Amino acid sequence: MQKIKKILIVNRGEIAVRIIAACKELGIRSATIYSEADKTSLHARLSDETYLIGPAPAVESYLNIEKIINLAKKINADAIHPGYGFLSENAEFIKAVEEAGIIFIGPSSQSVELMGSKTAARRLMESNNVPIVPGTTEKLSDVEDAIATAKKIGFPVMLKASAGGGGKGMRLVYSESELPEALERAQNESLKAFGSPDIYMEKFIENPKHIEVQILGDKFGNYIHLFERECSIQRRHQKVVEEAPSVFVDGEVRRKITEAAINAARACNYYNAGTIEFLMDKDHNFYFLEMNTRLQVEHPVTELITGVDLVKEQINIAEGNELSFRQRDIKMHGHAIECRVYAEDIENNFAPSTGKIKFHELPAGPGVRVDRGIDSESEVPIYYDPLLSKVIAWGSTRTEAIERMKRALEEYIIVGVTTNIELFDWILNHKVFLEGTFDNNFLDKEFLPLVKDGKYKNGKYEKLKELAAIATALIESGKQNKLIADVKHNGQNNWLLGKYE
Amino acid sequence: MNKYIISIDNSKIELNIRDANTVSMNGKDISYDILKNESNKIIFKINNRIYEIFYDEINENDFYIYVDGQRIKTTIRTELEEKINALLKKKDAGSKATEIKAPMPGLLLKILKNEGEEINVGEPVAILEAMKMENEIRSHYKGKIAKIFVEEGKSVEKGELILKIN
Repeated sequence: MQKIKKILIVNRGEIAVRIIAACKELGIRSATIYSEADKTSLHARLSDETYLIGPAPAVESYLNIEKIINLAKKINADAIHPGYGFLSENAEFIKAVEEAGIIFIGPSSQSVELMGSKTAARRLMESNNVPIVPGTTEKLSDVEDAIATAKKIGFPVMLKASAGGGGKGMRLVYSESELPEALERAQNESLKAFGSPDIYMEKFIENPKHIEVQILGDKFGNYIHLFERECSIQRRHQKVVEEAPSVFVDGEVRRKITEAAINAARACNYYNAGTIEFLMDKDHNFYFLEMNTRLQVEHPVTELITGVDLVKEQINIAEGNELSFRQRDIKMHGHAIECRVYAEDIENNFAPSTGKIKFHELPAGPGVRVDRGIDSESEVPIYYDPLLSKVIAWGSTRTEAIERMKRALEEYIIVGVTTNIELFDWILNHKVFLEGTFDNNFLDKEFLPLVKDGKYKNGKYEKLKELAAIATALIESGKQNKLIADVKHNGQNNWLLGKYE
Repeated sequence: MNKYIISIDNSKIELNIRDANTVSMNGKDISYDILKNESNKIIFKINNRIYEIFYDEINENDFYIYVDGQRIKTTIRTELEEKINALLKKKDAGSKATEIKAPMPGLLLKILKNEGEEINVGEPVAILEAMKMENEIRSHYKGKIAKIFVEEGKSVEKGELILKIN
């Protein structure tokens, strides 16, 4: 047992800000790193100490293991929190942290090695009676291997990065002719994102739901689960809306899936917060997808329905304490929804957008939480993930959570960069979303066809057009009047100053 | 007195600011009261409601107006500008070349077509890497590639011309 006094947070954006909050509440000193592109960023400003780590590209800054370890030693940090993405699931990094005698706020490097390679994880799960999606448990050796395997398990198939996650290095392939090009691109993306080009193949489960289970494990072999999260609303294989609990999961299915999740964690001697992701078909059969050995982006929905602060619990586990809770202490209370606000253009295939945030006004009031990495004047650089903030709403029922979310999003103003906020208005009013029967293809099937000509915009938008026109005219006319006033004013002053004599 | 034509999507709204408290919209008078007017934000009252509206000036004529969780793109022109614009549009429609521009800044990884090749609507023309993702740029047009302006492996700015289709 070792009390942690200073944590070096090796991440940026909203998750760094979230971890700083936990540090402050626990009386732990927080230190952060920032790249040259992040000089004025919120996370650097909020931490007790902050250090320039390198140039803007992530490989030279947030992914630079040597610089980070040296810094941690220099500033006497007794622990490192990796957040999600970047180095969070990099076994080499965790090993370097362990060897430097610094506490890693996460699992051991051995557990991550087991789960970090998605193929090894599939082998392990199979032998521990956790159901897996049919496919390979080894990487594909070449194009010929890929074609042969695909023919055996049947198209469509999914290519995935062995070292991957977060939708990077992932491609859905419907036919043999698409396979070579798709494999090459998946390998390229994987190499850039994770430093490894290894790709494996799974049978593509049609119209599944993405259901995941949050677990916590300590260094004494105690495990608890904190129920499931429903994360089926996705675009480009990345989640945009998550909720807990899932309306699709009832008591018996919940019992089975949470039990499988704990088995999975136990199989790799896991400690820390972790997430076991499953695909669920329409008959409630579920298959192990992958385990994320870190905090998830969507962790707040679980925090809101259980009252457990997952970041504080991660720190507690890392200090070598037993879990603060037993399974019987964990009760589900109400319903929570999260909307991920991205800098992206929903009308242009969700292409990322960049720029400067000219104005930022947060929603507030009952049941609303915002985890954010941005502020007025923040730059949104091209180098990193375009997640700006997350709006999370809690309600005693799902309906109340949805209505609160709608209100919060109406209040939320981000001026200066294109965001996906309008997408949520469409989702939260959609019949299929309200029924809870949506699957992972919901956005592709229902939303994309409406993008052209802005057909996804609802009646509210139409009603606001006249108001927008009046506002535009008043703004423009105000500008003209000010211009005239300025000219008159300056003229007078210049005469008085004798400039035009 | 200022008279404007405001375009939103395909509709046009005529606005005439008659004085400091009256605006006429498509010929109908509405009284207003401006409470605050600063950069990126205007607050005004119409009837019994106060509107706080945020805005972003994209360029001299185009604005994004933020209201009730919606972002509305508006284009404002004086009567004269509106007439000139209509004339220019007519002229534009005469020429057939269409351009494909970079939708975001990034690294142009691959160009999938050569000059002179045929292309269909929806067919990918290039792969642009931005924010760690490889993004396909697809053609909105059918035709023949007239000219390619950017080399593979080069960085492009948002809106930079990649190629022209005839």
